[in-house]
Order: sequence, then structure tokens, then C-alpha cells
Amino acid sequence: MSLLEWLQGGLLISGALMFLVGSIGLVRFPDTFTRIHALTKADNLGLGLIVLGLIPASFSLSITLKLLLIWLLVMLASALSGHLVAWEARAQQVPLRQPGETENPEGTHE
Amino acid sequence: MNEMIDWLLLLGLGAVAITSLMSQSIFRAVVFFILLGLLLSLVWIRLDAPDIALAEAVIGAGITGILLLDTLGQLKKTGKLTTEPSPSRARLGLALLASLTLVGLLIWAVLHQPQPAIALHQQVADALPESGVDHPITAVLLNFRSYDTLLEIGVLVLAVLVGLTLQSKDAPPDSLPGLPNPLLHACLTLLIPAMLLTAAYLLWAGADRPGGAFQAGAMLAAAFILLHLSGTRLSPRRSEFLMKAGLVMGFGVFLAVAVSTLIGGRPFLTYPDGSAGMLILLIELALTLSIGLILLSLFTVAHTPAQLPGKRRQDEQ
Repeated sequence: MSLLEWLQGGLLISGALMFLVGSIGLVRFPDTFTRIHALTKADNLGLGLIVLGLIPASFSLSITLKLLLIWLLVMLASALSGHLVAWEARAQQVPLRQPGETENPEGTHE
Repeated sequence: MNEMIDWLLLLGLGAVAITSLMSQSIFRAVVFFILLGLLLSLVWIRLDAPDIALAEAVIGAGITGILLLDTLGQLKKTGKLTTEPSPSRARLGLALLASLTLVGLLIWAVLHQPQPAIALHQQVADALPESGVDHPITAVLLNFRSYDTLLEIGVLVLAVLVGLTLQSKDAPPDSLPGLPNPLLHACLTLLIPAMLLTAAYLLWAGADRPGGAFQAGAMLAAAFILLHLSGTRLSPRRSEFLMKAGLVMGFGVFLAVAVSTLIGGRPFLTYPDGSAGMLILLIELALTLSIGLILLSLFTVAHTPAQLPGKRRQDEQ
């Protein structure tokens, strides 16, 4: 395996790990706001690492630009949706929680 | 490696479908249904059918997901959301028996597939140079089997017309206030042009790559719905005539092209030699706009409550 392939593999695996960490955060974090943090941050970075890992696979200009555009659009969309969820959660006065605190029976995260 | 991905997809599909069906919370069921659509589009990609994958992602997961979530929000707002008691054991057993029988029949059909008497893909490949486009799927949809596509768009127009008819006249113009969020509107000025550009690209790419009118129309509808949700109205009430003209335009142009060949003494729904590509592009352009507006209308119709049967009877008297 060449150096480039090692680099690609490393980028792809660390990207996948970021997604895994983000998913664990989504399940484990105590309230809406920390869950948004886990999801958007990990996804943006994870997707960015995967895009970087995929670019050397082709070295075609059009595919590279398309991949970067996908990353850019997803970042924009996830920042926006994260902001909207937080905005609506504040409007509905969703409570902040510390780790270990029990959720109320209605489950505001739904 | 590829086989492992296939098995993972298959297991994921089954798990997500069962979770969606068995979930007590309707919201969770809807979310898992959307997830099912996304996984299904990955399955289509693995089956080398990117056209269907695109349609499934945009229509199956996107538009249907929005409609379901919207219905759920509406039900919650009006307080009609009730959790039904879980069905009785007999009903569950019957449903299980029926679905298992269907699965068994499908497996049997796949295993006892007859050898195709005519090599259809070969015929398509042979006739492709005369079809006016370079992508076999588009050639089949808009040239070789355009009759099916014409009827499909007819069904869509009919569905939206029925929806508009059920709308009550005195309903409030829109029961959905736009979100007064400054960041949303700032991002929309970036996202909407990008979505329109993507729709145009999908339409243009349909000639020689996966893409086409249905995918482009669904993308257009997504842009319209985003605008609608943020408070910009494209609703039929503002310019009812224009909206209705837009709804039937795709079907109308398709039908006009289909009939116009009769004047030259050619059969219904054939293209004159040499101009097939041009006519297909014209039809697809009209179809894209109409499909976008139809899907938007299906979405906005849901916000104006239909008249109750009892009330209507009183009106007639």
C-alpha cells in the first residue's frame, strides 16, 4: 500500500469514528442543546474527513469540486437546522439538564 | 466486502421497518419511516439503479417524510392525536400470515424466474440512437413507453385536483405562520438558488445520465416547500389562475405533443424524425415545473382543513 492509500484509509476511518462519537453523544447527552452540539459538530467534521479521504481516489477536478460542494452544503444545512432546533427549544422553554438527571415522563426530546 | 455491505443494508432495512411498525410513539415511527426511505435509496444504488435511488431519496424519504411530519404536527395542534390500543392478537396473527405469504410468493417468483423471451435491454440499446436521448431510462420513460409516463402525470394532476376540491372555500388563507428567524432567511438566500440550480442540472443531466423530470420536479418542490415554511407564500390563493395553469401545464404540453403528431398522419405519441430530443426536453421542462407545483399544492392543501360532512350538508340546504 502506498503512502497515499494509508493517508486515505486514516482519513476515512477517523471520519467514520467522528460519526460514531456523534451518534453516541446523541444517545447519551442529557438535553436537547448538548445533543445538537454532539450531532452537528461530529457530523460536519466526520463528513469533512470522509470527503478529504475520497478526493485522492479520483483526482478529477469536477468530482473534487462536487465533493467539496456537498460538504459545504451539508455544513450550511446542519448549522441552520441545529440553530432552528435550538431556537424552537428555547421558545418552548425546554429545560437544561445535567448528566444523570432523569427526564420527565413526556420526554421533551421527542 | 461488497456482500457485507449488502447484508448490512438488508439487516438494517428489516430492523428499521420493524422498529417503525412496532413503535408506540407515532413520531418515532415517522422518523424511522424516513430512515427506511434513505436506506432503500442506498439499496437501489447497490442494485445499479441510480435513477430510482434519486427518486426514492427525494420523493420517498423527502416529500413523504415532510407530509407525514406535517400531518403529525397538525394532529398535535388540533389535539386529535390519540394513541390507539395495540391491536388484538388475532389481528396481528392475520397480518403476519398475510405478509409472510406475500414474502413467500415473492421469493418463489424470484427463484422460478422464467428466462425472458425477448431481450428487452438489447432492444432498448439498439433503438437508443433514434430515441433523441443518450440515457436508456429517459429513453424508455419519454419515448418507448411514454404512454405510461403520460398516464402517471395524469394521475398526479387528478390527485391534486381532488385535493383542491376538498379544500373548503372559507378556510383561513394559511394556518401556518412563517418562522421569523433571521438566520433562516439569510441561509435561504443561499440555499434557494442552489436548489433551483440543482433542479435545472438534474433536468439537463437526464438526457445522458441519471436524472430527469421527476427528480428535478421533486427538488423544485422541496425549494417551494422550504420557501412556504419560512413564510413566503406561493399558495394558490395569491394567484389562483396561474397556479392552476402551472399544475396542468406539464400534462397539457405532453398531451399536445402527443396529439400534434396525429396531424402529420403519424400514430399517437410518436416523435417526428430528428426532433425527438428537442420535444423530449420541452416535455420534461413543462413536467418539472408542474411536478414541483403539484407536490407543493399537495403540501399546502393539507393546511386548509376540509369541510366537515355535516357542515356541508347544512350549506347545501
